[in-house]
Amino acid sequence: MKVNTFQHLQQIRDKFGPGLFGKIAQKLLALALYEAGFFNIVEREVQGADIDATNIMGKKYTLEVKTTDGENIPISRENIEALKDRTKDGYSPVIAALRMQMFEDWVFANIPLGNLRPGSLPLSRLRAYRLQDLETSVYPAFEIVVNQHFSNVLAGGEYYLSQVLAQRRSERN
Amino acid sequence: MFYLMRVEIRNFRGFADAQELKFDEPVILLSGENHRGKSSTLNAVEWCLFGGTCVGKNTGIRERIGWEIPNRYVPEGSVLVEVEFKGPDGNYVVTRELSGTGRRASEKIIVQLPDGTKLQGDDAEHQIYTLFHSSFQHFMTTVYQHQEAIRDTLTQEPRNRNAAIDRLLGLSEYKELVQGITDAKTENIYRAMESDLEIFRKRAAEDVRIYNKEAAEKKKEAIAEGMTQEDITAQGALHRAKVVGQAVMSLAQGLGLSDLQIATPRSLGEVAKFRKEATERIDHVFLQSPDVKEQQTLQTEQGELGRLIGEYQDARTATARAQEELNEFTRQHGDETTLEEAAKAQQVEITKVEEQIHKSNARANLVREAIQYLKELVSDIDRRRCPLCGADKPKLLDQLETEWKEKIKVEVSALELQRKEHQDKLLNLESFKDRLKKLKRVLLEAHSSAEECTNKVGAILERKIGKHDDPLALLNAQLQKITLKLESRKKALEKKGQERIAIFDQLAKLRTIDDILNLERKREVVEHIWDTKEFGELDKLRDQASQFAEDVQAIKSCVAAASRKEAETKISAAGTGLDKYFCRIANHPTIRGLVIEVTEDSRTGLNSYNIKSKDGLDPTPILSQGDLNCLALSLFFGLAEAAGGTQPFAFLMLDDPTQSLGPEMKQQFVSVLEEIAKHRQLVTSTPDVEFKDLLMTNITKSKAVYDFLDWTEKNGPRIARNA
Repeated sequence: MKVNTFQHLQQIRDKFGPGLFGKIAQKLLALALYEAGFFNIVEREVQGADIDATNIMGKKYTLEVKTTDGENIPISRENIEALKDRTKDGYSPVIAALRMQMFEDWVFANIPLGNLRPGSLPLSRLRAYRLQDLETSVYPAFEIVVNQHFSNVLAGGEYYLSQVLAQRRSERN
Repeated sequence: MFYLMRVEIRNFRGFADAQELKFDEPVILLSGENHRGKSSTLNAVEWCLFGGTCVGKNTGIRERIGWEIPNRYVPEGSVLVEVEFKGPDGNYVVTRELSGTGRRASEKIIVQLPDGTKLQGDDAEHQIYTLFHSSFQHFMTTVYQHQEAIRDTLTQEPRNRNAAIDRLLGLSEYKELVQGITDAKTENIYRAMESDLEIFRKRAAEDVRIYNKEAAEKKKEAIAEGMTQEDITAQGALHRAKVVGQAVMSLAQGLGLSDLQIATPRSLGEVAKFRKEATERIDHVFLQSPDVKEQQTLQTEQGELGRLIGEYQDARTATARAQEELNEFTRQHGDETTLEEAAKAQQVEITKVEEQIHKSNARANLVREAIQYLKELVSDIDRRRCPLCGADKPKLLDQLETEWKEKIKVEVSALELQRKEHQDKLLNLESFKDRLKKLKRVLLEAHSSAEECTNKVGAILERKIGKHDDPLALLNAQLQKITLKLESRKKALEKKGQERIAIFDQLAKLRTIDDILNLERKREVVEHIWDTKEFGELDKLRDQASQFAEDVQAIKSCVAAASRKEAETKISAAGTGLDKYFCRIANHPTIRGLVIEVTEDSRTGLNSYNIKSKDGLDPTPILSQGDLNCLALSLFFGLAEAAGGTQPFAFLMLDDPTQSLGPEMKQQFVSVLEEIAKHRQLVTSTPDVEFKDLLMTNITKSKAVYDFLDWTEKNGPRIARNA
């Protein structure tokens, strides 16, 4: 991730705190998926997997989105169950993790759900299961989305992004 | 199935000279105190079959690490164990020989078939495997009950007991694999790599933070000084450099240097060089311009004139002061002639006084000697006579002393005082003469300096200074002329100086822009590291390392799962026997049966065995050492029984099986052995006399007893066979 993009995210997190930042990052990622050409995007604020998305080849992904400052992400039983639940509909389960440090970027990993245990999951373990294609398409899109919406997010926060997402959804429909 | 018929042992562990033991009865008992060679006999059979595989850490038996095969007290001679088996188609003789030690050790294996054919080396090993279909682990769990296995089971510490049960089940290799993978800590290599990269990332992030901070501060200052955002760009910097270049050339032309050329930068990287060159050129232009050069010449002349004026004034002042001092001196003390004459007069006076002193001194001597003479006379009569004329002079001594005191002494003293006064005056006059000479010399020197100065004035003004010229006035006139010229030059250069300052100001701004852009460029360089091909490759390596760590973990899980599965299978197979034998041997008043469950130890991934009584309770807190021994024996018998159908060996070897068993348990144990002996040959070693007696009394099959009587380093065990 470019330093400028990281600095924008840092400012957003500093303003809204780590809790809300997680939700904002999730929405920014959903927008980035739109930007990268994914469709049938569903972004959930409450129950279930965080994001569902389908790429141009028809491959379906379900994402559990995590942001952290450290080197581990918390995985709950509900997270695992939510991903497992979506696999019934043909979705590939993906952990999308962003370590909020300079020069870090999103990691998209399809770690086998059987290998996941509730608790703290080291980000380093995700590397073995990275989805390079997904990362390659999302990275530039995420940069664009963050830089495009930075000022408005700083002013309007999660609500602003919800509106943008709703607008994107309606445009697609 | 194969029965044990005979074993011959030489130099193996406790054995020395070759000894043969015939196992020609259904029950063989090796009896004797500890350290007599009983276990070595059983070990010899095992080593003969499996060689090096029954030695070392992989056996899962702690005692087998560093296990010595040759008898350490018999350094020469090879180790030999020969075992004869009776098989369905005849007798097989397996001979294993070991010669040399350490790296020079060489092992020889021979299998003699019933038809007398002898196979060696790999063929022999292959034949052993073909005949017995047995590994060391299998042999250990279903044929040969090791006393170490029992001993290790006799512990309440779950970790050790789990390891012991693993060993009883022949799963030590799995355990070693899992433990080996854990101990290898392969994930640490990946962690170390990640840790190094994290350090690098932090350093890079810190560098970026510093570059950003410095650039932001400088930008803020620049904007406060009137620069715009557009100015602080590469285009802005290049444009400013172009303007500065033109200004420098314009300044040069204004100063009379029309041939100056300065190359303006075409890229940001050339700006620093341009700034340096422009700064040097401006200084050069200024120093080399005619106006500045003339100004410098005039300033030099002005300085020289000033110095000469000062020097001339000093010389004149010194001359006047010397003349004044001379005049004053002469006025007070006279000139050289006057002083010379006065000195001469004083010298005459001194001579006169000295003559008078001389005269007075002659008489004074005479009177003083007379007084002395008269005082030394003893007789008063003699004292009254004149020593010269002999006339009677009664008061001669008094008269002489009075004259001495009142006249002669006073007179001489007065004359000496006069002489002293004249001498002092003469000395003063001599001093005045010297001082006068010095004053004249000083005056002369002052005149000389003034003349030298006048010559210098002539030289600097380039004219002859006549008697009637005033050098000081001439100098001042010249100085004024130069000062006027300098004033004129200064005014002319002041405008150019302002232009120069303006260029320097532009250069300073250009430097600020260059600094800011440099900081931003440095940041971009750091940021670019993450986009490089090399970093991409490193990223792939990190992924591969992570994949490797995951794979290793998966292998470990698979091995652990396989171990668990095999444990479950074996326990399930041995379950009936385990329960049956435990109930019979232990005859525990409250535990009416045992089951063993195997689970995964979540921390180590190894097998964890839960022993439960049939009522589901954990019996381990109430299991005695004897109960645990029963458990180990029951598990062994259970496994042996489970393997019964496919088992190639028709014998069981039990090494000291009654450890920690009480009399009742021993009784029960023997009854179990009686049952087993119906369809298995039994070879049992024991130091336990009570057990021996029970065995001899209660086992109905025919028996052979080998008493291990004693043992010496030289001869090994002394063995006697009793029926």
